Amino acid sequence: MLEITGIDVFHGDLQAVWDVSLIIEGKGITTLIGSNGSGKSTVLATIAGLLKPVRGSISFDGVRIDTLPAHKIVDAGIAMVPEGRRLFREMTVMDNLEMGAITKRARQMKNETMAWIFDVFPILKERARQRADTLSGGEQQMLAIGRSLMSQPRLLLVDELSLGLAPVVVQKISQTLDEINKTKGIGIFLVEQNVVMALELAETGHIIENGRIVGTGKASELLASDQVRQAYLGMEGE
Amino acid sequence: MEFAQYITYGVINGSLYALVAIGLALIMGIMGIFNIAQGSLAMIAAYGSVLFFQHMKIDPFVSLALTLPGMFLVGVFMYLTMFMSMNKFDPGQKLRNSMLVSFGLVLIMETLATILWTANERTVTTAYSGTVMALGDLRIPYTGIATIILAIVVIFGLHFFLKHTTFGKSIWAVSQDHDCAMLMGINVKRTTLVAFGLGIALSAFAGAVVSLHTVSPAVGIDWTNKALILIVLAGVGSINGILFAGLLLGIVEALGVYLVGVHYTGVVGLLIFIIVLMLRPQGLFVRKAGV
Ligand SMILES: Nc1ncnc2c1ncn2[C@@H]1O[C@H](COP(=O)(O)OP(=O)(O)OP(=O)(O)O)[C@@H](O)[C@H]1O
Ligand SMILES: [Mg+2]
Repeated sequence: MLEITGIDVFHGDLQAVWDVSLIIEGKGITTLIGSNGSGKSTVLATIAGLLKPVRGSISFDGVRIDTLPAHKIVDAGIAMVPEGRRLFREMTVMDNLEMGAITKRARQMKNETMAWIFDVFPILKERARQRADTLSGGEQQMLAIGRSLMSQPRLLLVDELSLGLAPVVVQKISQTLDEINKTKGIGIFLVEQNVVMALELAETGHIIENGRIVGTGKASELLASDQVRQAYLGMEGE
Repeated sequence: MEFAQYITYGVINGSLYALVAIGLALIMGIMGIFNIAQGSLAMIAAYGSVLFFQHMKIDPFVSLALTLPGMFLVGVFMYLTMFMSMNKFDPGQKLRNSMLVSFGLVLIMETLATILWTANERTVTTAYSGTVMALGDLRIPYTGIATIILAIVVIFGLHFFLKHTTFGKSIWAVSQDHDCAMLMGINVKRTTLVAFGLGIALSAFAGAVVSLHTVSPAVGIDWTNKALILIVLAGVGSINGILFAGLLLGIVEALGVYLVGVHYTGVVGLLIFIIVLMLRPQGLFVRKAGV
């Protein structure tokens, strides 16, 4: 279980997140939705250790992690699929996967994990020796997910799964994430602008606006709520 | 002297240029740090080789076992005290600041070397210095053969290390995306520290070879000049390209000597430098950005 307690986070002098508290259940799928610039990526980057909260704390399965450097947080069992995928473009698919398994624990299981990833995303096996930047958008997202899974995380953070992808591709990848969650018991914390997809996939949802949490509930109930329908779904028609 | 003899010397000189440039290329390509002091570090390493030979009769190629780790530690010290704090700057600012700081280092090292060892030229005279292999009319100094082999082994070895070992690849990953490398669990601080140390340690190879020719405190900046030409020829980020660029410069200079005389060597080098900058500013050996 990931427990975020009252964090304030800044980008330089600019505060982006105010007093955010969240509880993310270990085994489920949780989502954080919000519009452009609302602070979703900031929250994720803080969990991953790229940003440090000025106030508040974050703990994972009872261990405080906000004081750890980012690479130790990976070691502790949290991996992140960054917004925009951020692949090592000059490297092959295989090398990208290898970079995901850099911690000592992950390195020992590298071959088994890679075999599993190739099982989940067979296209990556076909493309194993190609440079990452020759892949299509969907394949790149699969590689980004596979690369983060290489560290054998217990919790996977995903920033904007749907970014720049066709609806059918999003559908397919979100289904795969669901399977990974159900079969492997890897918890997933998904951050999305695509509100419908996110709330359909997740069990629990949180809403962030201007750096503050303004709503929390069962995903299915949020999807049906006036708050979400007016603020997010209503906007789509405009 | 015959034409082929000139070319042979060109190849030998070019290999030496490549050995000096490779550390600079690594540090610039991987970290965006412009270390003008690379040639001066090779000069310091060369004095190390000279001193080990004078006082302990250790051959320069054998004393690499001491000068390599020595220069590595110098690199670690330089990084921790001067360059690490530049990571918070944007790339352009980092390049400019590192250039200024390392230019200061050039002056310090040159002065220090003059105080410690005087401005006179020094050289290591081994049993094989001056001996040559005769191939028909062609005479190839054994030290020259060693230089060529060393350049090939070091540069292809470095290329292999970066592309085919896990640690090498993690250095490469950090250079492509610093934050994302952290997200993968790479200890970015330690990785960059070691990579910088490695880049400086490479100057020991150049130093060993230089000590067999002549070394004086002022040669440092000359070597850096050659290294910069090589980086422009090869393209920033190209590792193997450095060797080919070195050979190209060495051979073109040799042709210059053959055709117009020895006084124009520097001019010939700058000429191809300018031509490449005009026609192919990304470098001759870079397809896209890549190592
Ligand atoms: N590196 C940065 N430097 C300064 N301000 C930043 C930086 N990154 C984000 N911000 C600001 O912090 C706020 C939150 O940004 P954040 O990226 O967390 O939002 P987001 O919800 O992920 O948005 P998006 O949906 O566009 O990805 C925004 O106002 C943004 O302008
Ligand atoms: Mg974002």
